[in-house]
Amino acid sequence: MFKKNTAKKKHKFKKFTNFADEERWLQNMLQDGWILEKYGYEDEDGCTYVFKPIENKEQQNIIYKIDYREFDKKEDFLEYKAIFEDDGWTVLSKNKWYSKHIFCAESRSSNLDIFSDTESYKGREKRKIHNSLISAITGFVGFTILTILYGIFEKPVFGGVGLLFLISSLKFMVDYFRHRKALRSLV
Amino acid sequence: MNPLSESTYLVLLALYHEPLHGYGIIKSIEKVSEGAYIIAPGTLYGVLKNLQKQGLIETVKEEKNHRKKKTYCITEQGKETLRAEFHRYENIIFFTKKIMKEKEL
Repeated sequence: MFKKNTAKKKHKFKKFTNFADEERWLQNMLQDGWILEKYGYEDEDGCTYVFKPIENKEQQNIIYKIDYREFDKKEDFLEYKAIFEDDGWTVLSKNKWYSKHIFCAESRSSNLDIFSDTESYKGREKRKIHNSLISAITGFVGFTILTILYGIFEKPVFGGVGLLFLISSLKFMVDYFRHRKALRSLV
Repeated sequence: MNPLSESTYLVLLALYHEPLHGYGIIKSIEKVSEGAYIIAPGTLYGVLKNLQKQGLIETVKEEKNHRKKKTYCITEQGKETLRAEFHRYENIIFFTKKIMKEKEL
């Protein structure tokens, strides 16, 4: 028998700095009887996950996998999505504005994966590292500009916003270092 | 020129045979290799993007094609790259055999 949850939905806001940890967390939620229905856009503080109770035993065999990729064009995202769907995966990212893509599929074997070589795992980390660094630099530039403005005009608002930029920049730096570590661990 | 990754080589080989859409490439490789090579979708998409960027494959323009799926075909440059890689493999096999036979004698 599988655990049946009486509650309707469960919302969680969480931040991960490692894809494998996030996949494991989703698997654990499934073991507790919660299946991922949807999730929102991700920022430096994380993203919202919406879970619903599992409805049948087969859903216990669901496997979650995560890819990280940005799309310029809608048609590129649709093409990407079509390849996964043809292969039997459900794509939980809703549109081209998502850069974190969560996939799920029912499988008897736990070997099912969205990647079939190490190069692909490295690619996922490299894309994430690149974007984290760009965001961290952008945040730091914002902080610098606002600090200069604060120095000139002495308005507290510049200092306050500047500080927010700095905090955001530091969070992206954490992402950057954690994913760099993950990349190094891939042989 | 760097050696192609195994997945890249297999995708080029599938398209050398005939133009295919994304999932068709996975199926074609699986069939030809009798199930020994199954490329996962995330890996395939990455390989397709890289090959397109390098001009080794391109998408076929089909006006009547209403499906969202793109059809890919190999370019002349792609064919040359594949042949060069094939010769490299042949070479490796040739001297591998030579050494293994020497050992046996």
